Amino acid sequence: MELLFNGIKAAIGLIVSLNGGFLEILSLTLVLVLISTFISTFIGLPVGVLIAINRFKARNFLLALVNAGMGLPPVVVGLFYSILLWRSGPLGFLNILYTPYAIVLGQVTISLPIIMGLTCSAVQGIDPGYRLQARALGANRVQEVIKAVAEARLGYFAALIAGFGSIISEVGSVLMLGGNIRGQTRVMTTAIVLETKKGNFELAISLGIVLLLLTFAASYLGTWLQQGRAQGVPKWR
Amino acid sequence: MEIVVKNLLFEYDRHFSLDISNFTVRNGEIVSLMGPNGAGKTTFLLLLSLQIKPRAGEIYYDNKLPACSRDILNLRRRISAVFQKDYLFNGTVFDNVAYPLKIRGFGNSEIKRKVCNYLELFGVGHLAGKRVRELSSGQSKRVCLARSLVYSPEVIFFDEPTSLIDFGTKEEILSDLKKAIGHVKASAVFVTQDKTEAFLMSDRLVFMNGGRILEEGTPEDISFRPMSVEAATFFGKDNLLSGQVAEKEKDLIKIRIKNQVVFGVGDADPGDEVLVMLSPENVVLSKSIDENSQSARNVIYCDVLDIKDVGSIVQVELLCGFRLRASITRISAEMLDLRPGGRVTASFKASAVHVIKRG
Repeated sequence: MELLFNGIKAAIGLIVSLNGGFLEILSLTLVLVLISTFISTFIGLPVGVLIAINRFKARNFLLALVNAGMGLPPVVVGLFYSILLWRSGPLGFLNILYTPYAIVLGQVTISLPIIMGLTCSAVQGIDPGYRLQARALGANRVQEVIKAVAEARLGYFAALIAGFGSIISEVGSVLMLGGNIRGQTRVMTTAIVLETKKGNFELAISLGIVLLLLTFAASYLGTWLQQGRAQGVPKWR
Repeated sequence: MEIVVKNLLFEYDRHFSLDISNFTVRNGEIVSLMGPNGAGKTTFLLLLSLQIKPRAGEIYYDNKLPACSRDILNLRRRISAVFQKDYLFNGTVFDNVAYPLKIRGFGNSEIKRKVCNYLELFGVGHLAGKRVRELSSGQSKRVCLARSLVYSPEVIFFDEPTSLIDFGTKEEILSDLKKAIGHVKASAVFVTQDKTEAFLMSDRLVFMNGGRILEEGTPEDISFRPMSVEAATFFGKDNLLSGQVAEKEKDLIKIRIKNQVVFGVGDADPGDEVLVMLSPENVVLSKSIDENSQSARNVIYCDVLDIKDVGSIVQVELLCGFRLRASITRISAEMLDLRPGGRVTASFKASAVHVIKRG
């Protein structure tokens, strides 16, 4: 208990002091997660919409792949890319193993199916009447899809929050692909693992608390944006 | 716009087929499609509004058959459709009504002018800046109708547009809608289950059942003097009785219904099995045989089974060898002092009894 209490105290100290090393880890964590989330959203959102609105032969197979990908173990992702990016591996010539690029590659692989799958579900949940109505008002196919898809905006926020959440707290692939190199690839989660191994529990706990606060803050922002547009049940007054 | 349908065929999973050999909507005409659930009215409307593709047959719009997807899009831009649900898009009332104009490339000042005009036409001009989720169902329907008419379509399709609206608001909305349809000089097709809506709105009523058109005519003819058993069953739910023709003298037919005899008019011969349709409003109730009942051909003594107060009128369930329903005013009910178990005289004219030959 005392350990936890000291950890909380140290966490407050860390945030207040804005220690250079801590800031470096924090900013790298945020930059990598934001880049990965952006890439996953950039690809996952339109692809999820396309899978949802189109009917084609391999659709069910593709959906099964996406759904399976939503539960992809990060360690397996790390292992897979480590083999590919290893100096003697098929993609070794890229020379990106143990660099932030490799971390982003792993994070995108983890969050992409989540964003894609949740987007697909959100779009499939839209009442087909919206599309029919847009068409009845004279919209062409692209206009009708855009209008109908806009109705699922709450679902996109949920997809974004879930995608972000899946990678900010992830350690397996980041450790295997980044290597936890100080000043280069050390992020919050790998720093926590390292400090715990070193027996430096106070620092590990304080980093953990900061990571939790960060995750909560990001989720809160997403939820606020999402729920600001949500329609609620009237209050009993 | 004139629409002509020829030999239209459509199938849903082999369980339902729509087969319309001939159907026309003339320029500026308002047609209502009525029929029981599953009759194919909505499917027919979706086919007419180019939302779904027929399996076979032709639909001509102003004598032209759409040949390619460009033709279909161009035609869709000349027509409009309103569904049971409003399907207002997220945003403000103005955004919604402006949407069909934006996709047609209208300029901002033109959009503003048209949107304001049509919102005013439907009495919701003051709601332009309001978000659609804050609207009541009546306001929402008015916005939906303004959106469907703002670009002056040449034909508008309505699928039970006021089925989710309360009665008072419904009449107001229908009255505004009729004015607006006249304003844009459009043709219109209504799918409805509501006889009032059909009477208020349409020039012609089409009765459908089992994916086919069974009858067409004025709303009055189809609902009060149907020719088919199906239409009689649909419109004459209140008093639809089975009987057999006993005698015939010119147009007057004597029909035996259980142990009673009823006189009616229609085209049937002695021995024919018939359906007898009698509107509850045409049944006059009195305590004894009075002047009114003497002028009627049919006078029957009945037991009062039940009395239902449905607002300004009272529905009286009677037993006179067969079950009969009468609709009378509240004042008449009070004057007659009707009570379940009491006796009353029911009278109705032979001309009020519509006879339909079975099979």
